[in-house]
Amino acid sequence: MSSIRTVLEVARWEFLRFFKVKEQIVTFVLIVVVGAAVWGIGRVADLGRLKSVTVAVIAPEEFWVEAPPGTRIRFEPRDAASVPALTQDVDFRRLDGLLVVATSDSAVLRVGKVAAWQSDVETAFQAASKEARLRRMGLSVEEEARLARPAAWTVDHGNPAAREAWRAGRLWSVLFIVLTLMGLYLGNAYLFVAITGEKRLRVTEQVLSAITPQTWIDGKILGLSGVAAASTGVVGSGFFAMGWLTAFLNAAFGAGVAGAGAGSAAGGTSPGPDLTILLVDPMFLLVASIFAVLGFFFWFTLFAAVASTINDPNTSGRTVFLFVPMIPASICFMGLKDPDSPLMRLLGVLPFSSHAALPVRMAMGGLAPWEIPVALALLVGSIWLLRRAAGKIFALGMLLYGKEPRWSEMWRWIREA
Amino acid sequence: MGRSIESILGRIHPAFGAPKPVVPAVSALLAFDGMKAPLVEIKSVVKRFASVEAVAGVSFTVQEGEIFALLGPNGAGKTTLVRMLVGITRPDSGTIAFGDSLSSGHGPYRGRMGYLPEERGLYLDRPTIQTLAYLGALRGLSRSRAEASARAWLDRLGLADRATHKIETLSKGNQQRVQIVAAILHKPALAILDEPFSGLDPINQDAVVDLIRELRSEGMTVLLSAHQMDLVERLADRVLLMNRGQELVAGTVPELRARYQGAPSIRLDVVGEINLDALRAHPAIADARIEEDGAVTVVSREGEDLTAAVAHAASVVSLRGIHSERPRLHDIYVRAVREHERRMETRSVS
Repeated sequence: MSSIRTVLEVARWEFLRFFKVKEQIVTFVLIVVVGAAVWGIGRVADLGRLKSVTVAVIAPEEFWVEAPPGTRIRFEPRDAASVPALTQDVDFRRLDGLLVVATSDSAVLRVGKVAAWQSDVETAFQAASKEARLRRMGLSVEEEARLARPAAWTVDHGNPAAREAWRAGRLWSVLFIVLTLMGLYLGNAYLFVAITGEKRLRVTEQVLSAITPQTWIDGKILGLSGVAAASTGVVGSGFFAMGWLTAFLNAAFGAGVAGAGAGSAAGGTSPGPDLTILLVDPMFLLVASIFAVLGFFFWFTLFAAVASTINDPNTSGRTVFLFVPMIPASICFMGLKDPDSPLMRLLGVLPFSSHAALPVRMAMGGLAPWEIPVALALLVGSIWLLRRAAGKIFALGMLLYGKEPRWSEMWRWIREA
Repeated sequence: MGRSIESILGRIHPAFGAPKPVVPAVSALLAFDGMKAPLVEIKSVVKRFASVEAVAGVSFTVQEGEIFALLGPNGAGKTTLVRMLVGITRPDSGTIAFGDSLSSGHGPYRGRMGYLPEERGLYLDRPTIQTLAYLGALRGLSRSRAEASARAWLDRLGLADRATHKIETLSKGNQQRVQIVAAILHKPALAILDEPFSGLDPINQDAVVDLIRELRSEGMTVLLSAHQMDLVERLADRVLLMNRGQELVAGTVPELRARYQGAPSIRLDVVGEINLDALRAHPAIADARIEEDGAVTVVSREGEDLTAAVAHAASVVSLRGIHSERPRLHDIYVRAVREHERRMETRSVS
């Protein structure tokens, strides 16, 4: 059997060991169901918010407050003699609040509990207080109107399509970093389980008598990269489906704060379904997917070598390596604020971070045409070199039981091989 | 008694009375009669781990179609040698050559070799048939052929109904059988079985013995290492005994027996009184003693004809039976290793 066919055979075996179709279907359905549930819970919360808030108002005759538009507050004027009874009603939650206005400059709001609407009551009182003070200044109607008129304020977004593209880019960048990180962790975890498990089950000699260590590690990395890519694809599709579902639910039943579950991802609190943001640029998807898979290769190659030197994953300090991919991902999250910063430009071409940083720059920044081929060449070249070194460590590490080799020993293996 | 002493002796052992055969030197094993061409040739192979010489210049040849056994105590270097044979590790010096043309390097020969490692290992959480098909595919079979071959072997070993079961659900004996199938399902020219009997009960040991014989009859060459001397004695065409990484002695089991026979002796079942002095009186008899079970052991003098000793014994005691006292492989193994240890100690003292 040719080496490539054997690599593919190993890859197929590793893929089928860890990629369970049934579990992936469950994952997909679960994401969509959870999305729908979050939307439903949000709707119920919205319905709860529609209940009006009644605040009894005791104020001087010339003073009145009006509920700000769009709030659920209803003010009910009462006379001062009913204060004791109203206070009792508030304390026993039969009344939401009691606003006692002593003068136009001073008032007390009595409530039974802390609630979000209390700030709306304060806003209403401050507006009424300002109104009363203006009246006392004896201004004409025109002067009053001029003072009350807000100054003109406009934000010019230029091309609205570009603004939408920027929003979509930000959404996809965040989603992409999260999904890639998830794929890396999933794949790394499988890699550790696979390699340390094979050492523990003593399968190593059986396999190494049939194929070379390099063929074995190549097949493993290929297979588990496939698992990571497929799992990431399933979860990504789940999020995508969830976004569409909540958008359609918003369209069908009216948008509310609830839409924010995928919500914010789906364009959020806009009154109608915002599906345009979910339409991903195919070129971005292609380039990002290529870099994601190559990123899996890069990290999995490194981790396969480390895992082969671990004797017992429960006690080995080397499992801390699982967290290393967090570093480039975290930097990229910070880089979302300024994707064209020198740091992000550098991370976009460096092999250990380009899988995360370059797609971010492509979606949100001003990516120069040369960056993609340079980043690709550096990443592929690094994978090739790393693969050779990892193969040497893997060949010896897989046959070592007991004490874990020191880093200096592993470096010697690479040099001597 | 009614039968001649010669006819009795002839039935016991054809070598009685015959001159002691010359045991070939280890290097002379390269030309082993009665077998086909050499399939594996190991020349002066050395392997060191730090300051320990695990294999110290071992040479031997395995002929096509034979069962060749590597024997030795723990730490003798058998497994290290086997690992080099299957290509898991490389020798520091020396050569290992395979095939009809005895080309060195494992690459082209990997698919023609089957290996049962001492450290057993299977994917316990995977179905038996899938695991076997995968391991067969790694040996070069197409997936469909590997699966068909695995099914045929499982059927042959009475495990057909367990094909889709996870390996962890099989008994230890059945797991061992599956492990052996993994080593041979691609019909290798050479099957290397490291400790194939370990962990098995006597019934399963016999089953494995039968299986190895079947493999040989189907043309497979088998190289095995084992501690179960009685089983090796029954199975092996030739044996190489190792200690401390060195080859001690090699040959067929009869050749080794002849070499370690010492002075020929016989064991007599007698009736009535035993006069040891009368027995010892004959010039051909060096010693006679009564064993704990009442039998009499008669040892002839070096170079003397055993027939004369038996004839004399028959004239002074009433014989009920005569048994040959052949050294067992176990005895040869123990004696050879102890002699070697003594030599090593003497060398280190001097």
